[in-house]
Amino acid sequence: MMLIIFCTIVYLFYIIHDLIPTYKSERKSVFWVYVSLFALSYIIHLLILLDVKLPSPSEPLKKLVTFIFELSALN
Amino acid sequence: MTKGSITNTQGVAIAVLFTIGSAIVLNPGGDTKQDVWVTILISMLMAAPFVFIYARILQLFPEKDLFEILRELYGNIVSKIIALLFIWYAFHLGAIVLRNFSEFITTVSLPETPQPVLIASIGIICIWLVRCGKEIMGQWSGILFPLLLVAIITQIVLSMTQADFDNLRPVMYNGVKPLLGSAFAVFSFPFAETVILTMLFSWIKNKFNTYKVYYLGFFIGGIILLMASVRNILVLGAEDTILEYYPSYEAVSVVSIANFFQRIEVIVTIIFMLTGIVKISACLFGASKGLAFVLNFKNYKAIVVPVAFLMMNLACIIYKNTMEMFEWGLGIYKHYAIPFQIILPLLIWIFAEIKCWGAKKKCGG
Repeated sequence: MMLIIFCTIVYLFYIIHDLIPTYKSERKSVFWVYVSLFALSYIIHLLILLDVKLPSPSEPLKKLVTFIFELSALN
Repeated sequence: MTKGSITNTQGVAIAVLFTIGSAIVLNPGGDTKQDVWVTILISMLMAAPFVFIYARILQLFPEKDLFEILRELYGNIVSKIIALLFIWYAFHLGAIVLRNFSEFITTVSLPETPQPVLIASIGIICIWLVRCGKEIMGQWSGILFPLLLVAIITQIVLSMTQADFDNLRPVMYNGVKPLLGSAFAVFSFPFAETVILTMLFSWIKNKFNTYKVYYLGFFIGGIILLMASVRNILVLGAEDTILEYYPSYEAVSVVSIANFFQRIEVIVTIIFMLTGIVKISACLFGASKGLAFVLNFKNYKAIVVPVAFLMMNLACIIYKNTMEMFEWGLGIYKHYAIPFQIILPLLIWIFAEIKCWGAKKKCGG
């Protein structure tokens, strides 16, 4: 719970310190990309802190590399 | 110095700190045991032509970074597709180094601290550094580099009190062939990772010489890495070195002079933290700059924060544990990085040379 509060505080800090000035000074497209990526990262952070198991790109990349380079010993 | 540019000295500092980044503590090439010094020398020979290619690409298109060069060579659409690959590589590498950091700190000093907290602490510093701009990164690296150099050399010299030179023998007992695979791994991590710096640097006539920066950075970084690896073998021995996750930390922890000057492994921790911050910041810079290029944003600083937070997310989920991290680093990474470190830079260089062949006035040539 404490970690979630800490995480939210950090995100709120960046919303006040960074997102609002971005809204005022940059184009709307920049603002909406920022909001989308920021919201996505906040959701993922919450899921991590709630111990939800999220897929990692390491496993598919390992399978791809193993397949391409025929690294059968690493399987 | 033009706005947003860095000097040669600062560029060398960034290149050295980037090269030794996480490598100085993780001990690449350590599986070759007492022949690690030969492995590193072979890998430096392998990396030298590619360092030339990275510097040459920037020199052919003055005052342009990698993404602007891609647009110059391939037009709008194809350049953005290639840029996405480099963005992914910079983003992924930044997350890997962030995770290396947090695993190191968890293992050696703060086992009870949750990893997301450690990752966030480092990530926030990197956000600050990247948002300040390239010139601040350069100035900070320029101040940090001589201090770190003194600290690294001091801890290596002090470690020599515990050194046993018999640990370096026998030399190449199994020949050169077994060393070549490990040399390729060392080429891949950390030398060829300097392809990321093509997203930071740009050739500026009489102000920023990419050859000088790249070669000096590569050479100094390589020598430091060589000294640290040899120190690990001399102090710990070949067998103990490969058993340890962080042999540099262990090698320095045994230093004890007159029972007074001891527990200097904190120096290794601080060096790792500071060099790693430069490496992660460079990756974050590259990823943010690339994304701004793809989305046609004028200012990359506007999206540094969300990119950094996503990088922190990836760092949290990328590996299940330390063992998986080392398995990926030792076995998979050297193959995975081939397209980003070898194939794409080669293609870009060849296209750049062809384009500049008939247009020598327009290219840096």
